[in-house]
Amino acid sequence: MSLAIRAGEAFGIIGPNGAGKTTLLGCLLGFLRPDAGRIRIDGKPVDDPSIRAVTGFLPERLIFDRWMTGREFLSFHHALARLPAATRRADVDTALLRIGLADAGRKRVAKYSRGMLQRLGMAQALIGAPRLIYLDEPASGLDPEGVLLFRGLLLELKQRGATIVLNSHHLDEVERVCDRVAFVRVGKVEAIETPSAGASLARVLRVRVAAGWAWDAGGRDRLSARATAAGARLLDAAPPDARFEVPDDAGAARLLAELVRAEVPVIEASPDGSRLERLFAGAKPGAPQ
Amino acid sequence: MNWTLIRSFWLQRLRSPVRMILLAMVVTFAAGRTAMFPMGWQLGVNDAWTAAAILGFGMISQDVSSGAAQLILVRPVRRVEYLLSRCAAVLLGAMVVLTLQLGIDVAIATARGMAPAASDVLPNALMAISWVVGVTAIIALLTSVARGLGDLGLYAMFLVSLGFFGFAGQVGRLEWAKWIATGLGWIVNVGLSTEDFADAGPAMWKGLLRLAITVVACLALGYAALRRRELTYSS
Repeated sequence: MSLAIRAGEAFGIIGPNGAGKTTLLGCLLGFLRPDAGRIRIDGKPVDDPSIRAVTGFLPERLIFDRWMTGREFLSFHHALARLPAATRRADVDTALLRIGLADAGRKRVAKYSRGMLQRLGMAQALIGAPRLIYLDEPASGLDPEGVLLFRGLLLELKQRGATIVLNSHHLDEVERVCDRVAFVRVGKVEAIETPSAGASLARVLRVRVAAGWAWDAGGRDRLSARATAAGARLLDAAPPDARFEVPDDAGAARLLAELVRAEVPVIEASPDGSRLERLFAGAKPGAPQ
Repeated sequence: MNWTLIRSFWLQRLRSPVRMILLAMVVTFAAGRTAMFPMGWQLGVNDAWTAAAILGFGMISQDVSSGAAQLILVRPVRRVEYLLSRCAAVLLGAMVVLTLQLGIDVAIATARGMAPAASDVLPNALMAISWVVGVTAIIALLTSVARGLGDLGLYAMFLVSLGFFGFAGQVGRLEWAKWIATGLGWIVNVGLSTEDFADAGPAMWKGLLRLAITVVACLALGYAALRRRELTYSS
């Protein structure tokens, strides 16, 4: 496995179960030792205290110190990160407020729900505004509000130039956040892509048609003919959606224009699966960089 | 030494009902014993061992199993600092418990008209400290290689082995079994006696040297094991 993560980029790691994503993260964090080779961050070993001081980590397995309260937990990590004691109370208050746990700060971590633990874990990872952040399945267990909050936090991190390493099964999340994505399979980096690379790949477009459209054989034939004219192919059609295979993003635009021109009452169009899903599903990724 | 780690460890132990109940039982039992037999106010080896054991077992191995160690070690905390801070927390915690126990026992003995002399109390306290130091060092080694409360299991195996080889050596007149039992005993019986400190003679210096060797060896081996230890964190 050989890869370089650039300072300030959001880097995603995706791959099937057992591919080695968590092992890779374990090596990057210094929990596991590579069988061979070495890992350097800013030219230093991963366990160098100066690197640790700017590192944040949200683990997948959220078994924190359950006997602490949320506030104590964050204060503990604030102190471990060697941040000034004078700002501890204010920093912890801010962190709890930011993640929507201001009212639960005095509650024991043991009584937190899965989503609350995830939020607390995120706050812990962000203590001290780290420059390098490892997030392992950060959105799992979050409610919709939590997902939006998490997205906002990630965008903030990106804006302030933090390097983010994101291991997630949520491909749409990875696509939304990451500048580059590594595809890992059987312990090897198969490819490193930018999510926009999927624009040149064939995709499935789901088109929703307004009520009143005739979904009989004639209606289907009309849809199929317009698709062929736009260089696409009708896959299936069942009220209220029709699914088309288009060659690329430009092909999707041509198809929609053709449907509108033919007075098909299109009310919505969305990709069936993200670009990363298409890349991941077996398209031809480029060579590792 | 990292005071954040030491404080958090104490807080963790204080909020552990099982450990607190055990410690309370030990102190209460000792107080009851002194109330009935005021001459027996002294701390015993068992008292020191129990205090260190109740606080010490699982000091790192439980953190590793729960994933707490991984979150600590991702911070600017070196593994040696983590190990020594845990040891210091156990050592200081056990000494507080023993001081409390000794204080209660001496107070009870005094109230019963058998106040011990300071020259008797000091060697007894030093004996207890020597045992706490030694037992903590052994636990530090075991907890660095075990998971969960596996360090307690390893220690129990150690004691059982010691008993087995000692018995086999005595009954079967097996020199090699005696030799193994002696070796194991050298490691397990780490502390000094009250008499050693009271006499302050060559036996005390010899015992202190042996204690120092055991402590240094256990901590060095424990650190070597912890340094090489791989930490998984996934479910």
